[in-house]
Amino acid sequence: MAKHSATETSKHGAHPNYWLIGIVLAILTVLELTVTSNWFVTTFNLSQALTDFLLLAFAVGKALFVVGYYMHLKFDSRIFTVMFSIGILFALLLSTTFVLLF
Amino acid sequence: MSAHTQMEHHTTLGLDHRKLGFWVFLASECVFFMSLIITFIIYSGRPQEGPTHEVLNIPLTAFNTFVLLTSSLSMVLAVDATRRGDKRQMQLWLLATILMGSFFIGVQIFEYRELMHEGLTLTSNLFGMTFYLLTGFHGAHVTFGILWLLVVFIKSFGDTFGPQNDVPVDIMGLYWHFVDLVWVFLFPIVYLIKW
Repeated sequence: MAKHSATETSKHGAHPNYWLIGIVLAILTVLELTVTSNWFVTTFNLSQALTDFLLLAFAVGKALFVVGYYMHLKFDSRIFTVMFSIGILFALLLSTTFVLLF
Repeated sequence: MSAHTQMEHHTTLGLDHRKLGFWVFLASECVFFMSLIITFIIYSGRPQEGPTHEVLNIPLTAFNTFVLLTSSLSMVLAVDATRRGDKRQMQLWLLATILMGSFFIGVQIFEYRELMHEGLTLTSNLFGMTFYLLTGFHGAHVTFGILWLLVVFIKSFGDTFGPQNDVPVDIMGLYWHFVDLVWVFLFPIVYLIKW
């Protein structure tokens, strides 16, 4: 009996450009460092709250690229996405509870 | 691999049960790391004595972040090579991932040593405790990942992995990318944002 291949549950045609995604991730990391630099903060007069928001937005962007393309959730079965989303939902629920309690 | 181990791993959903189970495990890891992250956010911002955020070496950690992101790229290329049946490329990219992961841990140990010289220890204050707890657990995950990668790399010298049996390498890749994913959030939350 043949062994099961991971790609059997994936869309076979999907073949993302991993190098390009790597470059995008590097650019987003450079942007993270840029928005926290003294030069950027003083030039654009950014508030701490806006800087923090931008940093978290860049992190979410990077995470979506990693999960979607490197972990292949964009091309794999939706059931994997649902399973992982449940974990993220529980994690967010937990963090909200902690913030409210403490 | 012997014939008796070559069996189907389908669930009734038509999915590989090892992969499905691993995604459930990763979901539980999200809850685990989120509890550590939120503990860091709550306690690190409180008024406290001793060294805190200002002693962190951001340029060094930024470089280390690039290394870990690049290791994720090499890992996905290893998985891709396995699916194509290109054993040489798979081994090359697995080795690159092992080396970059080891470099990341090496830099983290160096960073810890420097921070301890600055007076930031596990018991110095709440910042120190939550910082080492959070980054330490992540480092432990990276270390486990390197050991797992080594096992996969050694087994790759046989005819274990290929287009018809890429799930073990794929699952290894999922773990490695998850570790990278956690760091994607840890870097800004721990090093760049002052809570």
